[in-house]
Amino acid sequence: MVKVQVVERSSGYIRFVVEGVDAGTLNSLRRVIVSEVPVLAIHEVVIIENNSVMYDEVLAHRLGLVPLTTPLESLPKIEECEMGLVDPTECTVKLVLQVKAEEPMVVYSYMLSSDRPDVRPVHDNVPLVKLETGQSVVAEVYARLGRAREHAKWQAGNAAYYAYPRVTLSSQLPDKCRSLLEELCGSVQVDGARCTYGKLKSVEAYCDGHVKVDAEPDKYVFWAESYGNMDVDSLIREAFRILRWKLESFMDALRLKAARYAAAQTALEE
Amino acid sequence: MIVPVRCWTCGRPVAYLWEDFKSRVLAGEHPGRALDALGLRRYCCRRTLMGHVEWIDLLLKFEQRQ
Repeated sequence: MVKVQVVERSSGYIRFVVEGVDAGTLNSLRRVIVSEVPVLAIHEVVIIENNSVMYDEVLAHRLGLVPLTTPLESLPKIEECEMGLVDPTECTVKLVLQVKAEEPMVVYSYMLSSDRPDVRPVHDNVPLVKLETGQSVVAEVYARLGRAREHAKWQAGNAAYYAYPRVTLSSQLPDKCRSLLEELCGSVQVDGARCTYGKLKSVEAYCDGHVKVDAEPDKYVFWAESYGNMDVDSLIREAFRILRWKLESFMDALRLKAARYAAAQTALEE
Repeated sequence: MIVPVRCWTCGRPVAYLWEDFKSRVLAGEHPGRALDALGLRRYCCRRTLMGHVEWIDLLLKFEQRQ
């Protein structure tokens, strides 16, 4: 039986304790969150005018890294975009940047105007470039759905997990250990969901035998963080959808292989 | 040259915090406390903001035509 207990939660961050799952399963979830969940990012930049101090390439790169809100429910699935099952324009959003400096100024991400009201820069005040009087930047940019496997600008979030620590304290706990535990973990009564296994292992190494730390079997603390493109719930939901899709396509490929092998065997026997 | 949009290592967007961070530090706040308040937990993101120097201002001096 898998048991999940949420320890901390906000719109962009979640931390939970899972029991009864092996590290491999959790790791595949982590890897999907880090490199497979699709988001929108600027991929094509048509620079019409740029006489700022920044090269076109650098400006285009900075534009690409700006996180954009990604309403996954109103966009096609990433597999459909990748396999060409939908019109490529459905996976693309056009934005325009048009700034002329009347006085020294900073070009911010909110100056990107989008064709779709539900797709816009997540943060308004990302400085893109600084302009001196008379300089201007005009560019037409196209954002498309992509995966972080291809480029880090499509990274939707980050996730990690660590073993749930089981801490045994000796009855005569030296003062140096007590203060170390208080400093690193907040209290001598260690909460495994908040104080990491790694930190406790260093306490163990420092306390010669008075603190024993080992890993609880098949119990892990998992956290996931969204980079703002979507809330963390949609991030995890999409991660599970992609993971299931990957497992299903693996099973399909395996079945096909098995059927072909069986057919070849019977052909040989005849 | 200008603030990195994302953390070099983990990819978290950091540039939107830069101006807030800068004004807090210039107002005398301890940089570490300021980063805590901005919600940068990992040391990779923290050093990306801490280590940044706004060189673009120097370049812009050559563009001033008066």
